[in-house]
Amino acid sequence: MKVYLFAFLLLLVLQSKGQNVFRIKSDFTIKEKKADGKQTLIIGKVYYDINLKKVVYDITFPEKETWVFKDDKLYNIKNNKTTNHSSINMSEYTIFHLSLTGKLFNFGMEGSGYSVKKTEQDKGKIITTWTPPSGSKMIGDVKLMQEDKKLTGVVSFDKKDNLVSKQLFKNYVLLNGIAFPSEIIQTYYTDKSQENYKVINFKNPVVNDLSNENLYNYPVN
Amino acid sequence: MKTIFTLLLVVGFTTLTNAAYCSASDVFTIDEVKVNTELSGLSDLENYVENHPSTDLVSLKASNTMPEVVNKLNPLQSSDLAATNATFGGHFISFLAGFCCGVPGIAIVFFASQKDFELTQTAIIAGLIAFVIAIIYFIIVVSSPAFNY
Repeated sequence: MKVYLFAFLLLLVLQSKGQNVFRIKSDFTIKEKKADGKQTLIIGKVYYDINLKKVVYDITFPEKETWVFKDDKLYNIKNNKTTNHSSINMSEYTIFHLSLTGKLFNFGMEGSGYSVKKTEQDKGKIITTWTPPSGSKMIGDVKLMQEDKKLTGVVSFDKKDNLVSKQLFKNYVLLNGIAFPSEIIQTYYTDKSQENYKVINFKNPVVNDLSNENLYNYPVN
Repeated sequence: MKTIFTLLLVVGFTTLTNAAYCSASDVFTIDEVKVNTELSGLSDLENYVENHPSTDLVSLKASNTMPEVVNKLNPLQSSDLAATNATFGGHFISFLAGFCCGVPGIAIVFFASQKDFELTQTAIIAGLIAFVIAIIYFIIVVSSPAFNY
């Protein structure tokens, strides 16, 4: 009986700990090399608050500017001048939101319209194949690899089962009970199966930072 | 000669065994050494920028620093930051936008994704599917004699 009580209390503690994580900030770097030789390097900080649902990228390289994704708008602030564009509301599909809500382990697939097609086990890894909603002509299956209850890989295919992208989620750090990957390695394929490379690194991630309120809630209209 | 023949048999058997062990997780394999090699120039530039915090692209070009990397750099686009978004989400939302909003939805996807070909194509196809469904609905339901009565 005591064991059950202890387990129940432990669950309560873990659950309340997870619910208390509401914002994250991190230094980030995106490095990308495309098959045509073009390259991208972006360095900056990212801020995300689960209640405000604004993804704020405070970029220092290639030039000082801020990008704010909020609802269906994308704001670019450069030299004190703000421009906005229509966007797709993607905040809930970012790894920040998925990590804070504990949904990164299944890549936010549940509730996305995808359904589980197959689950396999291999060398201690669980591999789940998700299939898109019927009627979708372009997007194909997505395979997720999980290890120790963490997402470690995502492979997506087009409708003809051609490989579209591979992502590895690596070097997880534990922040107040949430697991956050500090490195994402991606190869993706464009026409003629050309291989493109992208690596995203997160450094010094911090959750529940109470400073920088003006950045989490960046004023945009 | 006998030794070489035996060796060939062993190598052949090992290869076959490895092929048989090709597992479900193999599809996730990425040649990380190759990726790091391809991105080594950008890693060097990243280190340089971290050691010179006030550096931006304009000053690098002006000082002709690491021109072999700097001259290949693209200007920043919002789609570059979409890297931190789940890939399927973009396609799914594009599909919904095209399906539910038609041409305006396709236009939003086109501009919001910085003219991303694949996302726009998904939205267009979704719009066409919605159009076909609407026509079938019109033919079967609206133009049927039962509807007119």
